[in-house]
Order: sequence, then structure tokens, then C-alpha cells
Amino acid sequence: MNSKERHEELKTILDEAMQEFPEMQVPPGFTDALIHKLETRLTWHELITEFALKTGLIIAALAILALVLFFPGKDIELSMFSYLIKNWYIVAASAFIFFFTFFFDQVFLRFLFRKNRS
Amino acid sequence: MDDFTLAARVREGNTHAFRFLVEKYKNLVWHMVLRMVSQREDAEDLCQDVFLRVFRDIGKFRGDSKLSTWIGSIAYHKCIDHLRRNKRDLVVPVENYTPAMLSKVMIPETIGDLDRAAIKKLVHQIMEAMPLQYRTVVTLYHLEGFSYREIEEITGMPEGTIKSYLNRGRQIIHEKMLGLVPDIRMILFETY
Repeated sequence: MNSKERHEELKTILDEAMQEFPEMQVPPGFTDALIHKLETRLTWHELITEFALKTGLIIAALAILALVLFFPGKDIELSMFSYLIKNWYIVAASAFIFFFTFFFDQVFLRFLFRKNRS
Repeated sequence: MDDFTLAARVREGNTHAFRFLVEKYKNLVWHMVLRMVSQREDAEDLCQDVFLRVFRDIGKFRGDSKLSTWIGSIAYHKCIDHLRRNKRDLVVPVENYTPAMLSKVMIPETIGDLDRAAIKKLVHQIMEAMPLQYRTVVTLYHLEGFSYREIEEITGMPEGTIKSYLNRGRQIIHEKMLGLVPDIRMILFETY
């Protein structure tokens, strides 16, 4: 092999080397792990969205109920509102327990159920 | 299935289509991320983040460019963000590039050891030790076969800069080969 041929040979080797990435294969199970991660995220997103919608509906229904009761302005209803305002911590604690239970039931338990099923 | 149809299926939330997309482009993303980040332990998480971003943003893909270019662009910017967060040097000016940066390259003991596989291994080691901008451009051009225009779309670098990095990258490989294995000068007497 003369020097020109050897040079061409080396050039080919360098070109080939730059077109290869030999020891760096994608880890086995990469796609499965990724799809699992994606499905987990999608499930969380779906459950949280549903929870937010249901919570929004409940709050809207309560707000409408409060307006219906408040506007006629009867004494008994006004006294009920003043009682609720005075004892706001009972209302806040009840709301917190309700939404925590609701979240646990609608999001967390459903997520665990779907995870076990899959 | 062509890329536009594939993107449309993924946009509908079809996870089977997304699996197909991942299988098709995982090597591209893996090579890019590994070459840019150089740390295997970070690379897998970054690759997953790239594909999760692809799934989230697939609605923004209008088909103006190739899907591979669009995914490559997401991978490139994810890596840059990662390197920035970890405060690693993003761009090393040419004048600051010293042979000390090649200290981790394993030099064959004798010229007799320098067979075809050994030369390739040496080239890979030199490439891994090159500054980020060179190894990114060389990887995109040589390994993934992107054109200058596509590399411009991926990295946002002007075409002139890409050509300059590519030539300088090749030059570095040649210079380092000559510097590390002086006997090779006998057969490598001109640059290409």
C-alpha cells in the first residue's frame, strides 16, 4: 500500500469513526420506562382536572345557594349567615375535611386503583 | 407512516403512536444528549424529559421542518438548559482550547496497536474531549447526517458559524491525532 492509499484509508477510517457511536447504546427498556412515566403523568393530569371541575361545580352550587338564601333577607337566614361568619373556623375546618376526603377519594385512591390494575 | 401523520396521531394522545415515535428517534436524542452532556447518569433522565416535552408540545409542530429537526432542537435546548443549571462551560473560545482538555484521552502504547478499531476509539475519545460547540456540530453533521440548514434550525447558530465549527472540529481531530501519535504523520500528511 503506497502513502496515498494509506492516507485515503486513514481518511475513510476517520470519516467512519465520526459516523459511529459504538459504546453508547440506548439503555434497554428506555421506551417502556418512558411510556410508563408518560401514562402516570397523563393519569395524574386527568384525575386532577376532573377533581378541579367537580370542586368548581360544588363551589358554584354553594355560591348560588348562598345568594338565593341571602337576597330575600329574611331574619332567620341572616342570623344563620352571621352565625357562620362568627364561627368561621368551624366552616373552614369542615371545608378542609370535606375537600381533603374528596381529594383522597377522587384522585389518590383512583390513581392507586388504576396503577394496580395496569 | 410519515412524520406528519405520526405527529397528528401523537397530538390526538395516541400512546402507541408516541411509542413508535420514541423508537424511531431515540437514537438521535440519545446520541445528541450523551455527546453534549457527557454523563450517562444525567443522559437517561434528560432523554426522557426531551420526549415528554415532545409529547406536550407536539401541537406546535406544523410540519414546516422535518420532525427529526424539531425533536433535535428540543434536545439541544434541553441540554443547554441542563448545562447552564449545572454551571458547566457552554462555549469554549477557540483560543482557550488547550491540549490539557485532552488529558483523559488514552494513547495507544505503540504504533503497532493503532489498528482500524484503535484509531476509531482514539477519534471518539478526542471528540468527547472537544469543546461543546465542536462536538455538537460534528455529531449532528457526521453522526446524524443533518445538513447545515438543519443544524441551523436545531441550534440557532448561523450557517457560517456551523461551517467554521465543523472545519475546526475536524482540524482538531487531525491535530490531536498527530500530536498524540506522531508516527501517524507518516500516513496523514495532508488535511481534508
